[in-house]
Amino acid sequence: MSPMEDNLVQVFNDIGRLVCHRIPERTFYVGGAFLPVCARDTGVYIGLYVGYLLLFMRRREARGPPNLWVTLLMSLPMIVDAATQFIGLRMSTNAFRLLTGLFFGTALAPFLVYLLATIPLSMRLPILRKVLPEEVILDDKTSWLSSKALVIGFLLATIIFLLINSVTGSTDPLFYWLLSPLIIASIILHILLLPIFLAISGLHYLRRRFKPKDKSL
Amino acid sequence: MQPEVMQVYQQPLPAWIFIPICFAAAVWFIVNILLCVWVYRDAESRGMGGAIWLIIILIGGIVGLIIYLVVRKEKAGAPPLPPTQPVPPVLRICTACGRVVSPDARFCPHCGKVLPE
Repeated sequence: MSPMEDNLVQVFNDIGRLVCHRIPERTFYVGGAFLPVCARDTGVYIGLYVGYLLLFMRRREARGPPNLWVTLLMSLPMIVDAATQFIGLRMSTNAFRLLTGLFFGTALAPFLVYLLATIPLSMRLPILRKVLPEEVILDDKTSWLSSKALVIGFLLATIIFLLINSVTGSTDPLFYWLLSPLIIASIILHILLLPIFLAISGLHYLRRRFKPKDKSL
Repeated sequence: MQPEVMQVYQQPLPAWIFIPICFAAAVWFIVNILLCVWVYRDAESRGMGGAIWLIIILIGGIVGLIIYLVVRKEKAGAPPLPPTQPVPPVLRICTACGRVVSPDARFCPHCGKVLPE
């Protein structure tokens, strides 16, 4: 890679280092460089994109969360994979880490968005009101995202897994430059921008809560 | 081709990077606390042992929350009522002249007939 590319790889690695152990044996080596994060984190950060795609299938008139059972089922493989390895029961593989991470990320994104929607409309940031105009009720029996939609997510995640897994052995830098920016963007979005958004939302919520007369809806 | 060996000694991170790191960490910490408080109170209100669920959320984070939402019991007491239809105002008709009268009128203001209770 050129010196400029090497510098960028270093920047990516530094960002990845902030959030991930990057143990070499557990990180994919693609196109001449290690990916910014380990296999499992790669799966999660890419899986989140798949999860956001699923939101196009949400039922706006429903008020309950995305099907919680399927969300849980898709999250558990990663937990089991990590836990059984942690306690020394078995050693996982990068492929398995990637796959379980993808499932978790796919299930997590709609759930996270739903949690944002639990903020009452009047207390929401205007931009969130535009993006998520619906009010939701946690106890409601109707699912915002059906089990069918989540199963489609499961299938999409599997396809993405097969795609990524097929290029992880490649020496072509193209695949590094395809994957790494996506991963880095996801890290910045979820680890930095999301907290900023949550902090602003929280302050906005508190302002509305304690000064209802001053602010018009 | 041998994969490059990751540098054992890596460049130290620039100092300014710790500002956004600390900010993000603080926000997630607060979110986690709020989550624990919410789950504790919600579990207690459903007679589910708030302390145990608090620990589960502390350890399990977001997955703990999903598990909690899946297994939590229905609230004690009646389930939430379905939204009621707005009740139309009661109309009272005078039996003699057929005109609309006030619901608490004792006699019809139009024809004077004494209205039943």
